[in-house]
Amino acid sequence: MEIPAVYYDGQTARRYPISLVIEQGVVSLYGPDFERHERVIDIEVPEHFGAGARVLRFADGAYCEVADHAALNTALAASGYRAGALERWQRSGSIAIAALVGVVVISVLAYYVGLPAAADVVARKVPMPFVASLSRGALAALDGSSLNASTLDAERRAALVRGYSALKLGDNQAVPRIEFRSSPALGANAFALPDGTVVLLDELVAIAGSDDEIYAVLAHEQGHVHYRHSLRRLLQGSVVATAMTAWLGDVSSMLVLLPTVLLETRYSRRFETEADDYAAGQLRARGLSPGLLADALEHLTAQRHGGPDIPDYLSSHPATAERIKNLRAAAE
Amino acid sequence: MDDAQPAAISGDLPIEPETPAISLPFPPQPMAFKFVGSGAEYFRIWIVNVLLTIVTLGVYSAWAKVRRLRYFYRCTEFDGTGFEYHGRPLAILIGRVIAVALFVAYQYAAYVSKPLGAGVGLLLAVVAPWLMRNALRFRLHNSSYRGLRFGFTGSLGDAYLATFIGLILLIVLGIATAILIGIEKTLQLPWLTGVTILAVVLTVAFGIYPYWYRAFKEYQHGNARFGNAAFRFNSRLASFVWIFFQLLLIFIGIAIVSVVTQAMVGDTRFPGAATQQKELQGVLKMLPFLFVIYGGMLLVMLPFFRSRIDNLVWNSTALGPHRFENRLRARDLIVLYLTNFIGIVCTLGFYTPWAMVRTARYRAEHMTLILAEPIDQVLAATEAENLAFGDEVGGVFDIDISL
Repeated sequence: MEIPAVYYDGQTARRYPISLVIEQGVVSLYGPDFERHERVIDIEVPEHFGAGARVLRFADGAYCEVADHAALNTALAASGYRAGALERWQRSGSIAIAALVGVVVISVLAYYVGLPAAADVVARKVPMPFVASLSRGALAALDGSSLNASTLDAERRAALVRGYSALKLGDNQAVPRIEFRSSPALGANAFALPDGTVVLLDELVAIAGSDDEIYAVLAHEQGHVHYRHSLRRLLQGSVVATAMTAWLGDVSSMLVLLPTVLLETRYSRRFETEADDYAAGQLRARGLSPGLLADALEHLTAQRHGGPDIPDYLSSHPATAERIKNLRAAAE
Repeated sequence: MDDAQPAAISGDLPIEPETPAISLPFPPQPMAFKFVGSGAEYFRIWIVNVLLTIVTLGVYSAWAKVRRLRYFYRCTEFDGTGFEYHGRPLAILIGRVIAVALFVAYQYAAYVSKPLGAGVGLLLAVVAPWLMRNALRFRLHNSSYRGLRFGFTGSLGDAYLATFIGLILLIVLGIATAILIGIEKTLQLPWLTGVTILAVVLTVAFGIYPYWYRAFKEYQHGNARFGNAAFRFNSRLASFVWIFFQLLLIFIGIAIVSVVTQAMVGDTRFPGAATQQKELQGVLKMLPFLFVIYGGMLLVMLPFFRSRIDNLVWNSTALGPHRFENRLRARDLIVLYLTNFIGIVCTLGFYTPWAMVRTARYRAEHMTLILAEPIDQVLAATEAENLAFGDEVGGVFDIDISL
């Protein structure tokens, strides 16, 4: 069967109307004063894409365009040519639906199970010297911006370290590294660095009802250290941000922001809950009440008296009331 | 200058260097580009790409890129023939591995130490023009139309010049300003300092930046080839300056509307407008202002800039004696961007293939090539580039470092 086609020689952009015949594994092109024969196996048949003309490409750069898809497919099939699996998939509606379901299922599983598990494994494998330099860098950066030197006297600091060490909270029995700082910008707060150093702010010491409350907060931060939350947060956060940029970045970088924040804060809230649970367990094991952490949280809330919270799903921490309720329940 | 003429002819007597040597009584004939793809069709390719990319943890993305480009090239037609993309996935994969390595190094070096971070940043800045030129070459050499390859002949030196010319001008301006302000301080003329700063801002916005932008586009478009025919880029700086000036006027308009909106809506409490963090509280109070100004920039300024600058760049581009005519309209782009945005938000991203197809169609259908000779004559005269040039490109530089 002769199929009308257009031939380009790859040397000029001239268009040669020809007819194409495929027989016994040989492609033959016949023009007014032109003829060419090639074996089907020597010809590249690029993927078939939609309505545009189909293409047969020759090794020397020449190529041939065929508008009649059906005739070409029949002729190619008769000579034993078979499109690759991917090419067939890309044309099939049911495969598209299956792929769609696959994408959704894999993404959901990866977000809820795969990524946290993988980050956990990787976080344990990150070499300590790297973690340490990461932490030093982060602290130096904060010292240069929102953190000031602590105004607590040396005696008070030593007493807090002594009292906290005596409790032997946390899993490394060595003296915990506590860095004292103050920060009007951050307010009453404490936070853990990836290498286990805990930064304790004067503002928190000032509003705590007792030293035990401070230790309870430190136990919570120890929980973050124990589970390597800061590293996991870094890892999970980068993966989420990268995935969201790949998914939506072409449309608008602004659009990427909201889902990234939503997905990351859920991880972050889980970490807070885990750290609370860890602190509750540690406190109970030392004969202290998990309620101490609840007390500390209440003092924080009272100091902030800021009106209603931002919605839970946008916050990096679970609602404080919820946390207090859970800790009180653990205290009983 | 005009490389469209075969070398054998240009060696002869110089006949009218300015006007092209075409005296045929042929009225300029516009020929439009066409896009024949459809969203539903591309969705099927795209979703398989996405799935395989996820399953292979991103490795397949290079193959996905080839499939995507092949589809969009093939569906973009000129005179009834589609374009072809020939990039090899492996070259793209290697390029991507390098790009990711550079990106990760850049992201984490600063955590480890500041000098290291600065070093990596500097290294990136130094290699950026080289990478940019490489990506342009890769893209064009792997594009073809009617069996003839496109090409890119921009030199490495020009790549550095196009990238850093703006920076150099900014540094010169900075030094000049410092000297001027020093003189004004010693002569006790404080009022002159304000004038100087205003002059600097205007020079950057309406001098250096448009000039830099044009230099970059000139490098991109002026060094492209189709077979043995050269693209040319001829533009007036004033046209670029005018666009940036209009952009400033639009920005002032949006800023005024945002301030007025903030003043009118002002203290209205949004759900959760008060929060524990003081910094966030400030941001939330400014929400009406931020909403209008970002919305205005995204939905008015961006489409305006895109359409005007694209039109200017393409209308300044010619392939031999044939010039391009691009007629994007800001208001069309606003509608296109907005509907795409809504579609993507409502489908959590699964509308993307339709959005991409709609954008490609709009762009293709608003571009024409004004032919100075009958199309068959044009194409019959265009020949493949000599092979030595292609060989060089086939060597070590054959990687595509562009994400």
